[in-house]
Amino acid sequence: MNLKLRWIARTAVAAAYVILFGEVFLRLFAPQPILPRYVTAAPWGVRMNTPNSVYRQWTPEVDVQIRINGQGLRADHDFPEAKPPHSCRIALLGDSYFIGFESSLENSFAQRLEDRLRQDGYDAEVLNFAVSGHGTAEMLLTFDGYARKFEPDLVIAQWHRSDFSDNARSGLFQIKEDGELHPLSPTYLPGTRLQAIFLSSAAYRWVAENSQLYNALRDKTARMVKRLLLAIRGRSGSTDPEGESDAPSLLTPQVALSTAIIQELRRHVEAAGHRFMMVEIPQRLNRQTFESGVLPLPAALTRDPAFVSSFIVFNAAAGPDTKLFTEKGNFHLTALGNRLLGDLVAKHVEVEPFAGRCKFHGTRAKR
Amino acid sequence: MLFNSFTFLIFFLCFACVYLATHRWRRAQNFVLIAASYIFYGWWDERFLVLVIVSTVNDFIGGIGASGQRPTRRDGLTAAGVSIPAILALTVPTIEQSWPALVGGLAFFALGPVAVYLIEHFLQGEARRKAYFISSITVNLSILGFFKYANFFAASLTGALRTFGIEAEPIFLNIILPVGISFYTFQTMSYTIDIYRRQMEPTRSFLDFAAYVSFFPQLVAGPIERAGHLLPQFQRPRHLSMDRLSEGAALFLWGLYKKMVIADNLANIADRLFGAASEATTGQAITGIIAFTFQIYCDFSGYSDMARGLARVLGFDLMVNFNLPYFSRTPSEFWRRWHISLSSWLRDYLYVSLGGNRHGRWMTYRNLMLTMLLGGLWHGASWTFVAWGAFHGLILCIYRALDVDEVIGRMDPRRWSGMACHALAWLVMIVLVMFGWTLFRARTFGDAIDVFGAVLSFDRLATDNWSTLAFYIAPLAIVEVAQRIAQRVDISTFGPRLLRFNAALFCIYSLLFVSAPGEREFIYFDF
Repeated sequence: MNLKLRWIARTAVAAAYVILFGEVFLRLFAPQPILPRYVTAAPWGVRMNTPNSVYRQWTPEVDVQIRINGQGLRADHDFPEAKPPHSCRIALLGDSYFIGFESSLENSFAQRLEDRLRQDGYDAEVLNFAVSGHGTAEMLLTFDGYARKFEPDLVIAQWHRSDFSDNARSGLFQIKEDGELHPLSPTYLPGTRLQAIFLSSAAYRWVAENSQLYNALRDKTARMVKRLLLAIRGRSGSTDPEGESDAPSLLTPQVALSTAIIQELRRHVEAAGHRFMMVEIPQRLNRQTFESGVLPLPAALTRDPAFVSSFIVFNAAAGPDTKLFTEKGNFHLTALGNRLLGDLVAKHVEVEPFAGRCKFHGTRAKR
Repeated sequence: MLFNSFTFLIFFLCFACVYLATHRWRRAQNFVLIAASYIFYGWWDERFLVLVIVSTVNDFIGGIGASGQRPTRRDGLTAAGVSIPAILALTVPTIEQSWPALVGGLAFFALGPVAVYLIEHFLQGEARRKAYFISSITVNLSILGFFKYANFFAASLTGALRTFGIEAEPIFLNIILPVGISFYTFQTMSYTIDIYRRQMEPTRSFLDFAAYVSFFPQLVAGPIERAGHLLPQFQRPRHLSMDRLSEGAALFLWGLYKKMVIADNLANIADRLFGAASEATTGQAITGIIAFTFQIYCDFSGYSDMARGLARVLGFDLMVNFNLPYFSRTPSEFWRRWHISLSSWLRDYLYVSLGGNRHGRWMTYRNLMLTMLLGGLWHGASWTFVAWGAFHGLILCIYRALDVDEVIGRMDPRRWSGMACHALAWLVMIVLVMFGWTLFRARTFGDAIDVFGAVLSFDRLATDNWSTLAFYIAPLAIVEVAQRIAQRVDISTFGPRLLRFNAALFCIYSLLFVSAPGEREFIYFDF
C-alpha cells in the first residue's frame, strides 16, 4: 500500500513537473496566445456566445477583454428586441473576425461600422451576433432562430475562405441528388456540453484564461478534431486529401454546398423583409499578401451588389509596416483592419434604400 | 515515408508489434524487417524497389564469386525464386507506368545467369574471382550512373561540344532519381569489395543479406554501413531491453529535434538568400550562409541520429556518422568527423585504391583531389557539387603541404598561445567550411558569386535573421560544447538522468510548439 501510494505521489509530482516545465518553456521561448472563447448550446441548434461572460484574450501583441451581454451578443449593454424609432438596425452574422477576437470592443468591426455611420449622420446600431467558429450554415440557423427577432433593417453575413470547410464540417445541410439544399442535422454543437461541464469549475476558468500551455494544446487538439470531422463529413467535397486546406478548387461539392447555403440565407433574410449583404474578409498569406476566398464561388453571386469584398481595399492599404491582421495570435483583424473594413461596409450601407430613414442632421449623442 | 511524418509513426508502431512478436525467431524477424523495409521504401515509388532487389541479388551472387567460392544452383534459385515474383508483384499491377522497371529487372535475371555461366566455364581461380568482382561493381556503377548522372553527362557533353562550335541536340531521358540510390549502392559495393579484398567471408543466406541491404532505418540516407559491422547483427539474435529502448528513443528525439526545429526553421533563412541571391544585403548573405551551414548539419546528422535511434530500439548498432564536425580545425579533421561513413568509404575504397599517400607528395595530392572530386559528384549531378568537392580537395592539399595538422597538434591547448592557435585554426576552418557550403547550396555558379558579392559588399549588416539564428543554434551549441568538453559523442547516455529528462522535455515541447510547419524532406534524400 505504502509502495503504491509512493508510486502515485511520484507520478503526480512528475506530471505536475512536466506541465510546469511546459508552461515555463512556452513563456520563455514560444509565447502562445491565450484566446479562450465561451460558447454554449443555443435553442436554435448551434453555438451562441455564453451570455454575460467576460474573459480576457492575450497574445504577445494584444491584451483585450471580451464582454458578452445578457443576450449573447458582444456588447456592453443589452438591446430591446423592438427597434427604436428613427434608427436603423444592422445585424452581423459571422465568426471570430466579426465578433472581434483579438480586438477591444472599441476597435471591433461592429463598433467601427457603427461609429462610421454615426459620423456620417446615420442613427444606426449594430448588433453583433457573430460567434467564433460559425460557418454560413450556422449563421443561417442563428438568423432564423434569433437575429430576426431584433427586426434588423440589414443583415450582414461574413464570408471567409474557411467557410467552405466549416459548412461541410457542420453537417447541418447537404445537397441531395435533386440538386437542392436539404437540412441534414438539426444541431451542430461541437464540444459545448463538455465546455459547460468544465466552465462550472473556477479552476478550469482560471487555467483557460491564464495557461499558455493549456491554450496551445487545446488549439492543436481542436485543429486535429476539425480535420478529422472534415475528413469524415466533407471528404467527398474536398479536393485536399489531407483535409488541411480551407480552399477547395472550383466547382467541388463543397463549393456547391456553400453557394446553396449563402443563397438560402439570403432568401430567408429577404423573405423576412430585411436587406442582405455579404462581406468577404480575405485570407492573410503574409503581411502584404492576401488571398480572396470568393474565387470558387459562382460569379453571379460574387458580382451581385450585395456581395462586398474587402480584398481590393486591403491590398491597397498593405505595406511592409502596415498590419491589417494580427501576427502573433490567430491572425484576426487589427484595429486598422477593422477600421478599413468598417469604412468600406459603411459606404455600402449608406446607399441602401432604408438608410434615408435614419439619416439625421446635426449631431446626436452616442448611445 | 519520412521519419518526421505521422505516417511513419503509424507504420513504426504496427511494425514494432510484429517485430516484437517474432523476436524468438531470428529468421522470421529478418523477414519482417525486409517486408517493413520494402514498404518503407516503396512508399515513395514501389517501382524503385526493383533496383534494390537487383542490387541485392547482384552483390549476393557477386560476393560469393568474388570470394573464390562458386555460387551454387541453390544460391541462384533462392535469389531468383524470391526476387522474380517480387518484381512481378511490384510492377504488373501498374504495368503502364512500371514496364521499364519490369523489363530492366527481368533483363537482369536473364543476363545474370548467362554471365555466371560464362565466368564459370571460361575462367578459373583468381581470374574468375576478379571477373565476379568486376561484374558486380559494373552493375552497381551502371545503375548509379544511369539513374543519377545520365542527364548530367548528356548536358555537360552538349555544353562542351558547343564551346567548340559544334551544335548538338541534347538527349534527355525522363529519369526520376530513386531515393537513397547512392547510399545503398555504396553499401552493397563495400560488401563485394571487402570480400574481394579477403577482409570478410560472403554470406550464403539470401534472407540475411537482403535484410542487411534494405534495413529501413539507414536505407535512404545512411549511415553507409560496412557489411563487416552490420551484416553479423542480422546473423545473430537481437537483444531488446528497456535500456536500449530509452537510449534509442533519446537518440531519435534528438535527431528529430535537430531536423524539425533547427534545420527546418533555418531553412527559411537559407532559402530566402539562395532564392534571390542578387538582392541580398551583407547581413542577409552572412546569416543565410550560417543558416545553411547549420541546416545541412542538423538535417543530415539529425537523420543519422534518428536512424541510429531506431536501429538501437530494434537491437542493432549503427556507426556514428557525425562527431561534432564544426569543432574541426583542419580539413582532414573535418572529414574524420563529417559524414564519417562516406568519408571512410571514399578513403578505404577510392583513396587507398588510387595509392593513397604511398607514392610521394604529388601523387598524394592527385589522389586527394580525385577522391574529393568524386566525393563531390557523389552528392549530386551538378558542377556546383564538383566545385565543392574540388574546393575541399584543394584545402586538404594546401593544409597537407603546409603540415598544418602537425603544427596544430604540437600546440598545447592548455597554454594561452596554444589555445589562441587552436581557436584561430577553428575560425579559419569554419569560414572555409561555410565557403564550401555556399558552393554546395547555390543552384548555379552565378548564384554563388552573387552571395559572395553580397558578403563583400558590406551593405547593411543588420537583419532580423541574427536573432532567429541565435534562437535556434544556441541549444545545439550548448549541447555540443558540453559534449566536446566531456569528449562524449553519444548523446543518448550523456549527462545525469535528471538533465536528460529535462533535455527530453525541452525537445518535446520544442517539437510541439517551435518546429517549422509541414513535413520537409531531408536534403540528403536527393543524393
